[in-house]
Amino acid sequence: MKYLMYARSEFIRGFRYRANYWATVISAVALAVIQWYLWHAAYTDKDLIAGLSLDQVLAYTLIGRVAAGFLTAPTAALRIGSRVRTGAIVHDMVKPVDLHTQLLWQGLGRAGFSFVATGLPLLLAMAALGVLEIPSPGRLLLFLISLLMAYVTVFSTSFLSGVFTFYTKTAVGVDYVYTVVSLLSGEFLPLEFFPAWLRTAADYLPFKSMHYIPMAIWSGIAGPGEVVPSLISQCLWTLGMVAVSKMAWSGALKSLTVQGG
Amino acid sequence: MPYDASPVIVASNLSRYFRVRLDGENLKDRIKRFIKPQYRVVKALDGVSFSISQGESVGYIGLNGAGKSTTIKLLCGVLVPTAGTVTVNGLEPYRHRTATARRIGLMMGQRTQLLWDLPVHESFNLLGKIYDIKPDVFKANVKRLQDVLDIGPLWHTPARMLSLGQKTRCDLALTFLHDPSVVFLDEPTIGLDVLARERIRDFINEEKRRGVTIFLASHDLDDLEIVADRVMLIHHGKLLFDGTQDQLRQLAGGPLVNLEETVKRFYREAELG
Ligand SMILES: Nc1ncnc2c1ncn2[C@@H]1O[C@H](COP(=O)(O)OP(=O)(O)OP(=O)(O)O)[C@@H](O)[C@H]1O
Ligand SMILES: [Mg+2]
Repeated sequence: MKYLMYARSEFIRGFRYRANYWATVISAVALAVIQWYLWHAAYTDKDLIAGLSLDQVLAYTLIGRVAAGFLTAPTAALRIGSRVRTGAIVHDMVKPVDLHTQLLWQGLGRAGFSFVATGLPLLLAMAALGVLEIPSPGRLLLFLISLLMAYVTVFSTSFLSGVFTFYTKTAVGVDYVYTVVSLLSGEFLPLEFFPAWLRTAADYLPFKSMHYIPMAIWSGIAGPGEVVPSLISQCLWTLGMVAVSKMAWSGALKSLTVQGG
Repeated sequence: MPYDASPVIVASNLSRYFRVRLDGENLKDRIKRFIKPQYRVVKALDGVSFSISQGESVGYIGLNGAGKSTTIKLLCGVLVPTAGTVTVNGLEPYRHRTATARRIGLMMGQRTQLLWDLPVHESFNLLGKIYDIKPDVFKANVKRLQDVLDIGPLWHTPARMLSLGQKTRCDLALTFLHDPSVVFLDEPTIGLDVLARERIRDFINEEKRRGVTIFLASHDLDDLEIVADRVMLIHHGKLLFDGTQDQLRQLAGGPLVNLEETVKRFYREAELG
């Protein structure tokens, strides 16, 4: 499978950036510690906030920290538009590969590196310290499936936004849009903490699939009856976003402009 | 080498225009154009027609901004024509990108395709997989390219540590790795010393003898003098001359005129109209 080679190249490339690596590890640990204290403080005289227990919220946010690197890797696809316009990907464009698939796998290589190098050690450390409990094998498996789908949704959404900048000829604004997206995806807070209207909106948008669903499965916020419906809706969103982003890309290819050289 | 009569590249009335937004010369102009943008159309390529047969080697020359790189991008399917058509191996490159890509090679002197952070061999392995090159063919091609371009010693060096000339040799090898039938070279000898340039010319000549169609854009007329059977001269997006080197010299006053003088004369006359 030729696309696997793309993932492999990106994976081994990760080992090159040592300074970057330690910075990532330190900030991941720091963020986990902050989350831990923050939520303990918030729950001092309460058992439930927005219907969630301290354990659930902690599990949700801490596993979110573990997965953070894995799920930010594919946002590199946001730059597809500017990379086409500056000619940085001329060489990729004259290869017998589909660029959408290529970038998906390259991102997976980077995400895999990030998970192995920072996410997994953080997870094991927190499990050993008893800070984060690992769910039953069944839930763990469903979590992993959901996480992979979240990856593909983040990738496709980023890619779609990137294709959009191809038309607007500027990437300004995309980063801001992305902040809103990460809010609605539940990256900062479980969606339960949001006002009802925002939660209803989130039910009809793809962003839940990008973060909330896998973390809710891990933390048990998604009850036994909710896991399968969540996975089904996530699966539909994933397929939908892949289809839409691929279509937008083949549309963009029709009016292609590559600069430079 | 006798040419196969069937054309591999056919361009007819090929044109590419770019719409460029004007900035304005002073602040008032800039503000005005920020609110109501004005555009200018650049005719980077303007109605060019030619046909190239399998095994031919074409030198493509023109001043800066003449439209050389634009032409190459159109032939590779990286740009879509504004008007006219182009086919490579019978297919329109931008409509059949993947099918075209299998049989062409592209090298741009100013832009490496090496994987920047990884050892040179990783770039070769990646391309081997992407092009589905059979393991024994891959091995044989790597061996041959390593020998003729002397890149064996660089095999395990990370690309970012290579000098310009070393990078160029690796890039050339990558371009020819999958036995393309047509290769586009955009200023392959840019920034190289005399010996490195000579080695690269020898290599291109060798590939030419193996029957590869070569389309070479360069400012170094020595490149063309040695490599190209046929010369195409482009000026402001229009084809000024298309023929053999001898024909070009003949037009400019005799067989003894060197190519550089000939070409300069052509540009001067074209400028005068
Ligand atoms: N993406 C683009 N947008 C706007 N104008 C462009 C674009 N690409 C090329 N041009 C213009 O088209 C013309 C031809 O450019 P091209 O790069 O083909 O020239 P060239 O012959 O390769 O020149 P050089 O020898 O300097 O490499 C130039 O006037 C250039 O400014
Ligand atoms: Mg050029």
